[in-house]
Amino acid sequence: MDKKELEHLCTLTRLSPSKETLQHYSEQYKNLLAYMDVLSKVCTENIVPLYTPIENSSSPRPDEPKLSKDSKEILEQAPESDELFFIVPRML
Amino acid sequence: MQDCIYSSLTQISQQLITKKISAEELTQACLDHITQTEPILHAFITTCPEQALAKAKELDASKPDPSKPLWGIPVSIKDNILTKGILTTAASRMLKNYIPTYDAFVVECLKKAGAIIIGKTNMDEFGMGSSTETSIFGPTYNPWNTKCSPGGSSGGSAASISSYQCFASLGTDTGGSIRQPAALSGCVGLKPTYGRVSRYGVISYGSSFDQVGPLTRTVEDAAIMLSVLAKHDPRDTTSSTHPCDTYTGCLNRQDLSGVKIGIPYMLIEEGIDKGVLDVYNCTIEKIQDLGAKVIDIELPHAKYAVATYYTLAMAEASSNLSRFDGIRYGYSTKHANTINDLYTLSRTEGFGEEVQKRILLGAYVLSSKNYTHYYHKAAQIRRLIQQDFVEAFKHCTALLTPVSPIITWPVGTVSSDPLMQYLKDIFTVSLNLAGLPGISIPIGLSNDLPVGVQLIGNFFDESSILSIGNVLYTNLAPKTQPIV
Repeated sequence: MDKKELEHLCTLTRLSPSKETLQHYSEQYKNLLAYMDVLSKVCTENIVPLYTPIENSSSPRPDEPKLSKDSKEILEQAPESDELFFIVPRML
Repeated sequence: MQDCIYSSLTQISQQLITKKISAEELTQACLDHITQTEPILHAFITTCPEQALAKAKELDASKPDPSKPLWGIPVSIKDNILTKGILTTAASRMLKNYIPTYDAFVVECLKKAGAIIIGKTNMDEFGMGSSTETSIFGPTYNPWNTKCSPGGSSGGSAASISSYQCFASLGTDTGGSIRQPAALSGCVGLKPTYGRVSRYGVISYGSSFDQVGPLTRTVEDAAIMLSVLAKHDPRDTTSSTHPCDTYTGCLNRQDLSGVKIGIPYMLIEEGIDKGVLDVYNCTIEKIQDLGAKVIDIELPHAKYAVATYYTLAMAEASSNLSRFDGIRYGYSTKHANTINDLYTLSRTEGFGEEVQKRILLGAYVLSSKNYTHYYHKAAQIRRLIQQDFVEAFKHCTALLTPVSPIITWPVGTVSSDPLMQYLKDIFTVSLNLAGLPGISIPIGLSNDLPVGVQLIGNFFDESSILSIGNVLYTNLAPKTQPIV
């Protein structure tokens, strides 16, 4: 994982560690990725990926509207809000 | 009166129901013990003495209710499980001041069963770690050696049980985070089958891996806790409708006659501490003395489990932690001029180093040029690992393995190479990949430090591993106590 790739990942994940920290991560990732590369040697021809261990288990609830959470309680938890909205810096 | 804290949950429950002790007396005894031991152990992030005593008095004002299996029992809860009105931090700056507006399903279950919540326990930040040393509140220490780690990430829960601060604790297990600290701290830890216990209200790390489970002093206590927690919850779409057993009714086995236990000998090779290996090999001999038949089981893809687990878990963590944006809840930077700064600075300032490392690596394996090579491939190998276990369970009722390849270590000496840390999860992660239940039983000591063994069960067959585990616990668990 080169420096440019790591910086791109920081942009995607909205993280901005210092240059020294990024360098430190980069060195650790070498060993980790080399270890993960062992998976490429396993024959997986015609194997369907398993994304969740218990498949076909979801039981949908009836499609009926119901109150989920109280909006006042939710807004009270925000760092900045008025009575109706979360307040954020300008986007444009 | 203070001696009551050394009972098991099962024993003290009888004393509460027969009014030999009141809920208030018991809760006060636990709180007094916590006051004495917390300066040394630091098992808790938050304690709730006023609420706990108020609840105890409320219970005492009514009659003891035998239909509530946890009536009057003080319990602790890992701090990634939401508790309404009680600080829930995930041991992170990101949620340092977060007070939930609702209870997790498992907390609702505890309350309905009459439990008294005594506090929220310390953990690795967002569950990412195996030593309870990445918490922003500082590490927890092991009751068996107070210079050492209790393991992690449910280290606070494990320490609170083995030091007699309370009678049961809820932890979460994504790659071993209940079973490993239970083994290193000398208590019982149960990870149920994936989907057996609802994840509603549990702060997600890896959504296809996470499960809530109990840490307790005995296997009988773990069975009681599972009977309280194992229910279908429509608010968690991964919550199973598979029928639940009567877990407390399966514990009358006296020995292991007729039980076939699989041993994956090919997994037990180099890199295991001699003390752990000696205890494990001794256990294999003793289960045969108890009547079990031991069968050599092959798990051909188990050697890829750690690499598979960390590829998939980091990818899921990267996605799950994207909800922390500094806008709706949690930490928010004071230095942002733009929306992008708000996201970036809040997350960089709010998350610790290990969390950021895993988010970045998770994004890497999910990126378009790497997805097929890492994430898709790992998911295919996950199916092969699960198939190995399905095959194994055609020949045996349970498998027996070590939990951790090493005994505990001094706090502050964890390797700076993350790969060395991750490789210690070799015996635990396979179960999370496959979705199987597992229980850690304290079975021996090495250099006066606890060693556990793990029983792995088939899907939704917690009854078998509780039943077999109870025989092991009754016959083999060490009778010595920790120093704290």
